Amino acid sequence: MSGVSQSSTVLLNRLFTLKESSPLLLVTDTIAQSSYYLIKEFIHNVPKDTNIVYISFETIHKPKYANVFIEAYEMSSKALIEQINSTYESNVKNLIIIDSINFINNEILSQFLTSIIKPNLTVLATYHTSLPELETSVKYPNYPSSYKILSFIASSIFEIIPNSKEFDEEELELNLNKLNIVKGLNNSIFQINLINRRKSGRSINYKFEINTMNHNYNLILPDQSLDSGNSMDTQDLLKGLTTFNLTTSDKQKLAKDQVELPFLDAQSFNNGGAIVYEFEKDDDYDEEDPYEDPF
Amino acid sequence: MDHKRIKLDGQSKMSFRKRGEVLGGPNPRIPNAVPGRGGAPVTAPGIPGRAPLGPNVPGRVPPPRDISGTPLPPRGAGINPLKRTGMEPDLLANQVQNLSVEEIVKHPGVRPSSITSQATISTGSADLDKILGHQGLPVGSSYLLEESGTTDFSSVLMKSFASQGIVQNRLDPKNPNTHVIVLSSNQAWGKELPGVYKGSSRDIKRNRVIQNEQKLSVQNLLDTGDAPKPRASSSSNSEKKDNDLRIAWRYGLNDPKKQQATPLDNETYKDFNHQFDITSRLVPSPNANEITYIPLGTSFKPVIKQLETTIQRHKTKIIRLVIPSFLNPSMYPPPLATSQEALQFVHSLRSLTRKYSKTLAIAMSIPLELYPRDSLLIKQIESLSDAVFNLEPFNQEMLKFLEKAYQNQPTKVQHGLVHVYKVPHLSEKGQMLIMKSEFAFKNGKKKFEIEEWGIPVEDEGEPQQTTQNIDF
Amino acid sequence: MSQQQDLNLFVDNSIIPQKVYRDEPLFGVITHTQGTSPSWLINLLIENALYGTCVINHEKNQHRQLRSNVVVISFLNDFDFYEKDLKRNGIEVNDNQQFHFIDLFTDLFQKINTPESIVKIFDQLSKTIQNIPNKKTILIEGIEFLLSSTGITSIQLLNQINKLNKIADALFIITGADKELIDIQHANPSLPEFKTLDFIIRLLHRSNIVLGLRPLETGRAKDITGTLTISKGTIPFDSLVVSEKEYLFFVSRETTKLFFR
Repeated sequence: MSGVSQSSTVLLNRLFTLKESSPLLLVTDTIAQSSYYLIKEFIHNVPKDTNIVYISFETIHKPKYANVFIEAYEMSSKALIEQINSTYESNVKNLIIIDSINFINNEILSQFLTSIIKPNLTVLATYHTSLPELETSVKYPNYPSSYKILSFIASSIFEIIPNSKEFDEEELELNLNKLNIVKGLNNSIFQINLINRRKSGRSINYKFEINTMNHNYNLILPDQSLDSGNSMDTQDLLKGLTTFNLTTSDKQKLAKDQVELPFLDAQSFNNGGAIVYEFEKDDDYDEEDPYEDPF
Repeated sequence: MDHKRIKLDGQSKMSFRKRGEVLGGPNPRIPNAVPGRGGAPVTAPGIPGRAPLGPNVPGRVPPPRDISGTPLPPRGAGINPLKRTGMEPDLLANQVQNLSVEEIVKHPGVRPSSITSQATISTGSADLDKILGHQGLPVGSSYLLEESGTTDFSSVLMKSFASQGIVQNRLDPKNPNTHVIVLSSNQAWGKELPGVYKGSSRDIKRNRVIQNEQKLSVQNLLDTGDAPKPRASSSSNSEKKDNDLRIAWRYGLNDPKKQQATPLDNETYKDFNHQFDITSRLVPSPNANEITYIPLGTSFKPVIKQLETTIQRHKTKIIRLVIPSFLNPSMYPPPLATSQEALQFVHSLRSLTRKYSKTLAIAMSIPLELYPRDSLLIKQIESLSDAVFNLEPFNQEMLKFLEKAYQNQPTKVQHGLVHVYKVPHLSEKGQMLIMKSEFAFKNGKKKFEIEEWGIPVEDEGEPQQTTQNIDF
Repeated sequence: MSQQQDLNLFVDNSIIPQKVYRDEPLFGVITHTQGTSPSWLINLLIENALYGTCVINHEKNQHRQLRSNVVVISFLNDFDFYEKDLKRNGIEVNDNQQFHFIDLFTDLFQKINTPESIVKIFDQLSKTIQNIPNKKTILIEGIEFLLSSTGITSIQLLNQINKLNKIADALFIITGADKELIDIQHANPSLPEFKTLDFIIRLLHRSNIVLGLRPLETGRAKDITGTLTISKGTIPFDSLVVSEKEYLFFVSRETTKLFFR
């Protein structure tokens, strides 16, 4: 187990220090826990000479760590691409932080990314999942949503989750849907769900608790108590993987539950006297004899 | 130039006002004199203390207008003609002189709010006036009446609101004091306004006798000019007062001093409200000097213009603007129901109530069956309205239940619930006055009643059973 | 009922800390729903921005010293609406050179109609406010209304707010957040519900502090108006720390009182 823990933390550190070659790192956040602290953690870890370019759509004041600050919110995408490309330094690592990639129109998103991605450059883009999004583009009905595009091309995805120890998940969601921002959110300690895609094509998934005060990252192992529940989900797991129909519909389940099995009947002693018979030592009982049934 | 006066150049002039500079010229506001608009501490018991008005005051000192109803130039206009820069519509306001203090006070249909001492008018339903919290609708505000289902109770209240204005306008033929504007292409709307309730047939006879007695002497007439006025039956007075108190309690107004002022007020403001008989008609029907119809087209833009010119034409009167069944497709073409058109219009209405805060009051009804309450459109209209009520008529089963429960007292059967969502002034100042299912209404021949809601208890049944259970 | 409490938003017991006017600008979002109109809170913020005091707090009599200009921009109310209440709180805005009211309510739609005209208004506005010397606190009320009443998109509107954000030391956006305003039935970006939800979420994603006013879940109570929740925004301050808490509050005609829950 400690091996898993070690290799996962090593991976996270390699990502934070930009040692993994990753053109696009996607951070998904919500109003409950924004990407702010995670971005800060990158800044804490990246090599000193990294060229940090901050693309602002919703940040008014230039962060101190940014080498270049581009106010993108009223810029055409063409001008923005030009300006980003003009900041590129080929001899050092480049980190392009986009405070909210939701501001880039779905239809030009893919083209935008391909025009800024270069060797030695990582785009660290935050996507706010709390924002409403269209299932499909109005203009081009088959075109995938921005979230799908981004998660498809990202080499790693950091999904940010508020520290769940503090909250009842359901209640929190209910509150957030009503835009009730309860206290205790947006903390310097939070969790991330990291999905990393290896060159081999394999994708690995780790959950960490990130403490940005002391820069400790702890792997959170899958909750053992949930394992018993997992067996129930084998049905879901196997869904679509076999040619047999292994699933039962809700209706079938209900019918199945309603069938009264005989042993249930036997357990209820409602029908008056029952014959209770116990074998005694002296009883003459022959197992082979079909007529020896005492009932 | 004072650095604080911020002028914005360009076509779109913004009223960037500071320091209470008011659009109406140098000193259109008389500090502390106008009820509710001065800076007097609101807690001051100013209401009963105000000089009581003699019943004959209206008409004694006619406001500056000639008999034909053509308004004379407003007093302030001569002082500051430079403000008339002509073309811009929003500057029209500069030429308007709102009713002066004396005029407002003289209006027989105006009394100070029991909470804020703002000038207040009756909605045409005494009970609705009560749940408005102010004993009426403050001038310079609007009330929205939502109705669920397909019934049309709200038209009764919309029409009473108009009738109330017409009746007051006729109190002194030489001195018209109220104008009704109806947003409708239906010019016959005013022909269906209810007349004043004359009392039961016995009351009518008695009144006739009294009137005859009074005709005997001129002195009599002068002394007791207000005597033959039909009133709510006095037998139920104490019960009514109780109810008033309880409603006042709901608004957190249990100051007994204020309540004691009520009987006195009834004398002082005797023409503040009337009781309307929905089976009768207002005779004669309102004429063009009393009511203006503004027809609907495919845009609200011209409507707002017409509204404002009409308000300005009658600037010395109380203006009752009635908007029956807002956005009802039978009168409103589809483009008007878009959020943009409808909300710009309602926002402009709110702006008018503030601009003409001493003369204009608005009553608007809207059918929730067509525009559900859980939509952004209705929520925004509510947030732009000063008072919001919702009539929710009972279904057939409930009505049958009530009829059975009140077997011997059919007049007690209520017709539905009244939900209160907003109350003028108090709600926008932060008080939480959402009262769901606390009131019920019944629409009778002689009035639209609103009372506290309670499910009637049937005599037999459950209570007895509980005692038996104890025995067991 | 528990003891009456002071209003404070930060752990140093301040409402708007002095540091905001030095080097830690503030972006605050105030949300409210029907039944809990925010005008009392706006008035307290105006007072605190102007003088650093708060009339409902125990130390209300402490010496008032002007510290920031206050610009109130309203799309829903006129000057009169604020004047009387501020006066009651002891602020004579008519004599106060540092209080500025921008009426974007009266005859609004005779002035604006198209997104372009809104952009123009905000350009003028930011120029004008920029010329006000010294520190600036800006409060904007009811701006979300433009989303449902005009063709402006949420991003266009946010870009207008950016213009003011740049020149303000403290900026508060006061917006309705009733569920009907943000309940999306169809994911259609031109629907006002979609625009409003998008707008408020994006506001929250740039906020340093969030104040939420809501009625009690249980409905109306005689002595409680609702809850005021103070929480951190999604973007922390450099050094200032928001004092997160939930107040119960009571607004009556005479007073406003806060209690701890």
